[in-house]
Amino acid sequence: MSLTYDPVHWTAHKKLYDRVLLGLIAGYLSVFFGLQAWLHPASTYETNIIRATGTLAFFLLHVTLCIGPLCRLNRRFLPLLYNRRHLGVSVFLIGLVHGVFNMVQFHSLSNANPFVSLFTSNTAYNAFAGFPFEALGFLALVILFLMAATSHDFWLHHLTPRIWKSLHMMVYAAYSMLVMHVMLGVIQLERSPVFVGLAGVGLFTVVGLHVAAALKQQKTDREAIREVAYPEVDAFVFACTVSEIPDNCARMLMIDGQNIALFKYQQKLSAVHNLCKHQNGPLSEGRIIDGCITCPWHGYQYLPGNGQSPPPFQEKLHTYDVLLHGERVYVHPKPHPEGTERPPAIIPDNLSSTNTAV
Amino acid sequence: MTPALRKTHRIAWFSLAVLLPLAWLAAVLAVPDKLCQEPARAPQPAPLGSIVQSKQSENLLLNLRSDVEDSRYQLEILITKPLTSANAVVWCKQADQTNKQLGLLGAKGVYRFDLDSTATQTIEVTVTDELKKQQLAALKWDR
Repeated sequence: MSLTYDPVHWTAHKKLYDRVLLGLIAGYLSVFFGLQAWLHPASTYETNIIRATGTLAFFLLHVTLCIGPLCRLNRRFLPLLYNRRHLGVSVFLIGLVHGVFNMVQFHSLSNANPFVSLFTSNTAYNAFAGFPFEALGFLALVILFLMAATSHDFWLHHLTPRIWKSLHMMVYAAYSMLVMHVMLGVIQLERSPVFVGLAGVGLFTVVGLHVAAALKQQKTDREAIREVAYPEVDAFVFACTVSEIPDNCARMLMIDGQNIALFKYQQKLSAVHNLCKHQNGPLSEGRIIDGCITCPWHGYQYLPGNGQSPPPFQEKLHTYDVLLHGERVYVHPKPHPEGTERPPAIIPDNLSSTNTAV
Repeated sequence: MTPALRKTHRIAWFSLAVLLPLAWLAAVLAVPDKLCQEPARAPQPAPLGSIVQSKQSENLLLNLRSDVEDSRYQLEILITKPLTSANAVVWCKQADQTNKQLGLLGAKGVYRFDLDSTATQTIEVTVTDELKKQQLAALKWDR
């Protein structure tokens, strides 16, 4: 019997995702080089590579950033979320090629250290139009490197989800820098309304989707809040009625700072902590599949009665007590230790729900 | 995503929704009307109709061109081989026997200089290396 470590658990979905991604990258580069050869036959290979990788990385970053809010707005986009990190790492690698070629082309053929030249060849840091856009691109690349280097679950476990997520939120700073890198760089020279328009469309799409998703989620969060100030039954808090929860689905609750997912399944009701142990995915947006709560982000599973992952997995969630009075469901906000078995509330036959999951 | 993280995301994106479009617009408005950088070579005047005289040196071919009426003259210099002189200045002798600088030669290619040739009977042009104090080429033509 041997024990081996697999750094990547390849699945059919991951392979398909990567094949499509590589195909798109290869297709884009082919079309770009072809157009360059036709429209700008005098430009050199280095210039073409710089332009191709720069535009591709910028475009892919927009695609990557759009996936999150799209999934919030429409669940059909969820499959794109599962391996979004592959897109992110690709953005970094393509951006790295762009950066290296730029450094060689513009900063390496002098007496100065290329990195010193990068920050000192243009010192108009107090100007706007002439701001050293190269420095913005370099700093964004550093952020993307940190994110790519920590994209593996190894870092997620060791940094903890909270710190890991905070680090990866720096993508917004990187995106802002890259938008200005483009607007203060190539746009100032090319001056073409087409490029200005494309940059604007990308920016407004990303910003618009994030704002729309934020507004939608804000509404959901407000509806989920239940006040403890008016506990009704032995400190239990009213959650909802039985019929409001579709079968094998959940209702998200915010009670006394506790984020709770209340699941209805097999004529029973159980409540667990809403956040997946993997990457804090919203379990209430998942389903019960094969008797297990299944996270919509990456498929991690937990048993609803005790919040434990089925063997051999060892993740555990806090569980909460559930009470059913007539049609009204109550949840106690005090969490039990992770993995604690709690009896579910049984739904009597006369309350069997016709409200099924879509 | 925890509610706290969601709130942080909301704050971040509502801020970016204001700042980024403003920055984009500011950058668009800052685009200059014309490019700041100087072109590597100034545009050359069009060649005049006929070559009245030609002179070949080691690296240079000098052509004196004129129009059909012989009223305008132009010096055309073709650098046939890269110059070994770091400095190559083109001069034209004026009516008062002083030399007027027409321009500098640099990379390989064609250079044209319109000549103010109405005053002198003789058109005399030279190309010199001012650093080494050498004459690289010369052309003289009596009208």
